[in-house]
Amino acid sequence: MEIFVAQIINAIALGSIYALLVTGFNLLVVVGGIFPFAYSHIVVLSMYMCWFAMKVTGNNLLAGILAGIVSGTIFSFLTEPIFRPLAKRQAQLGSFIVAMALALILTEVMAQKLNMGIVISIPQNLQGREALIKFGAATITAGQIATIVGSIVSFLGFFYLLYRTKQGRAFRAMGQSPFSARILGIPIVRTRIYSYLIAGLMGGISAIFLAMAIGTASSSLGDNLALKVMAVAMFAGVGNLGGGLVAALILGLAEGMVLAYLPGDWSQAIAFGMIMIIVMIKPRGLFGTMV
Amino acid sequence: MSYGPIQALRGVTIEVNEGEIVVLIGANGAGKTTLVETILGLTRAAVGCIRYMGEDITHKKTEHIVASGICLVPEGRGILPLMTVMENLLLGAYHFKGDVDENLKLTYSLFPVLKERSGQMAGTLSGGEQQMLSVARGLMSRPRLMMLDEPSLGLAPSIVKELFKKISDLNREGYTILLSEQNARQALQCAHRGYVFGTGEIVLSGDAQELIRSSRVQQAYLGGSCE
Amino acid sequence: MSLGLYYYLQLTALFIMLGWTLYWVYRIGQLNNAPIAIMAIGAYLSAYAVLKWGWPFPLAFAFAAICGTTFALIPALALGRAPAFSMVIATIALIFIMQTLFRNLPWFGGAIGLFRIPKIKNLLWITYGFLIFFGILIYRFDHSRFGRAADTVFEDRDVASTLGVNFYLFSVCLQVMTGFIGAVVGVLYAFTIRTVIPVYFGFPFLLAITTFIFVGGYTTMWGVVVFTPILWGIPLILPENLAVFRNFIYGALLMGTLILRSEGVIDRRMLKKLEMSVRSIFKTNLKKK
Repeated sequence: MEIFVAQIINAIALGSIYALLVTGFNLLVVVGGIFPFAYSHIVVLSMYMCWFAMKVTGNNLLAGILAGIVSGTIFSFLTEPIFRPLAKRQAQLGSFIVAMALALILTEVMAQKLNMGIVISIPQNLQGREALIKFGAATITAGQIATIVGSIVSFLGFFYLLYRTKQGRAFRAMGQSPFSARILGIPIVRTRIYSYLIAGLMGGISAIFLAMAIGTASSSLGDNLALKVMAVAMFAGVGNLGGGLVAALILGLAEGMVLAYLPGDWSQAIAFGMIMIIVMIKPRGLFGTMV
Repeated sequence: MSYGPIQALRGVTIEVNEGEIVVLIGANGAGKTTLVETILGLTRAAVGCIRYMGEDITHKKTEHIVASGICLVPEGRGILPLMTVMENLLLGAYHFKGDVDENLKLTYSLFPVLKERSGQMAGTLSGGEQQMLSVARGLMSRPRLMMLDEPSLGLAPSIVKELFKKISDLNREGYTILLSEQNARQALQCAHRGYVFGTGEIVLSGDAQELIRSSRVQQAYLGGSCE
Repeated sequence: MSLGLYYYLQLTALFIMLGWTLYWVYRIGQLNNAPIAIMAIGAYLSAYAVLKWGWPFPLAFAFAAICGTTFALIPALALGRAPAFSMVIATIALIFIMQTLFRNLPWFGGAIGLFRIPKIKNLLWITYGFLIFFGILIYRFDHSRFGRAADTVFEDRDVASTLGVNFYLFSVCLQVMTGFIGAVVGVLYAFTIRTVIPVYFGFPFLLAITTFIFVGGYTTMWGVVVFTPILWGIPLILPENLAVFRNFIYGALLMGTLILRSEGVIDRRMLKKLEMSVRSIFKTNLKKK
């Protein structure tokens, strides 16, 4: 029984990470007006930055966390000009292909230049493997607690931003009707840039939690994550922020359960299954594609 | 404020003075919407210039034009259906630099119906209420020039009457209004001056009351006989 | 002929055919990456049949082609009506899953794959035979009422349905057809390179083919024909240290093209102009005579 509960906690932690990722993803879809296939790759790159910062500061926890979060924000910001002409033209499919190309470039950089392509491994003190709560044969680690609590805080902050601030209203307006947003005098380009910054921030935070949860990173992690994030987004409905949360938790649970019995590679199969099911039954996603 | 010739419309020149209601009438596709959108910077004028408060705003970006006090209540209302009435109004105040709560209170006093519905999703309002919301939203920016594009479209006659009364009220409060309308009679009745559009050009212009009496306008837009 | 030239000619032909599969389904507005996954099936099954069952090449070829095409029916039926995005994502996912499958199923050699695949005589002729065959097929398609229907569908799927185009049927047929091409390419690929490993059929490969077609021009079949030999060939002649950057260059080219000249280098206007100038040259020649 306790093992089961521990597995659930693990699944929730994993699901929270996916939820953060899909929220950043959806924000870029809705406000950025693009299909950010390379978002997960930027997140993995941030993981590398975190690892690197810890390496040069002798495993300083704070340095690693800051490096991850800041680099996520900055990298995302840097990609905005690339997509700007496409967002302006509302060329969604074009932005998808551009993002694919960007993703490949990032993967290549990680495969060839960073750590000479060797898998990086996150130092123990960030991984948070110490058991914080023990009950019976099961344990809950510091990492898991940090992830769940951190995610909840991030979401509260994000939804507060979205629903209670001027900038959040501007985001939602742009997502619902770019024309109305323009008429209201909302600065289109500047608002898009903000969305990239926030998505990047969430990506950076996810990178840290991912580092805790997985403990390693490699150049192939980008593609792996991208597939899952897209599966979640499609399952809930691309652009649907609330729905994405739910779908992410579902994936987390499904993966957590399956991974207990099958090798890691097969986790991709779940994502694939989700995609195929939703495409056949409800192509627009379970909850529809609205903000 | 004056506006010079704009190419997509051929040789259009109109002028709006502070405190006036100026009306553009003409059939759909005659260029009224194009003119209004060009003023706001949504479409670019190939030739000609737009001068506002002494400044040339022809090549300015929409966000700056709106920030400097021109607002548009677009054709079709342009409200955000998935956001509440209050959120729509707050969005109208995006560039407003004063006390937003005061502003909101004032707007609600002018549009009590909206106050009742302030927490409702804007998409669930009736056509007339949505139009009021759109106008009120424009008001939240405390504009110097308020442009309304076909506000009576799709509304029941009794609501249209109320709408034009509201427009006159606003003008009396001091708002300068540029109104583009197919409903020529009611529009001209509350306006000071008017321009008549026909496929991209100005066909007639002058004092609004004179236009109502003009036989050309009567035949083309007012159903032929003077009521 | 030298081995290098042989590989170049072979692979160029194969990649042109793959580019055509992407081109063909994109004619109706769907970006379908499935042929690459089917290619994996074609490659693995034919290699396996020859290596482990000792089948003769033609038999293995037919076997792999049939299996691949039949398998292509599955995503085709499922994705026929899918909006453009769902199809791209689903087919990319398909590629990943196929890789995972072949990497993990016990019979296919895992990450090391299958190797020492025997040489086939006249493979070059076979390949180019298929190239010309498929080229003619696509050419005839483009210049038929199907091609015109595809143009309408590309603009607006719903409008086309009101004009009587059965989108679902159209999509499924194109997907199965391109699945067939993918399977064929897979077999030929396996017997050209003579090893089959999962890594070949992954995302970087997909991106290379995508680059060929989008940089070359996706509105005509000739974009792929002209640009595949160029984009594939140049990294081969570059010195070693630059050649490693091949994927970077592809990525950068793809991004640049989509951002700047979104239809690709060879678009229909250019073809029309070329056609006109060729005609006028003929006319002046005839006049001279």
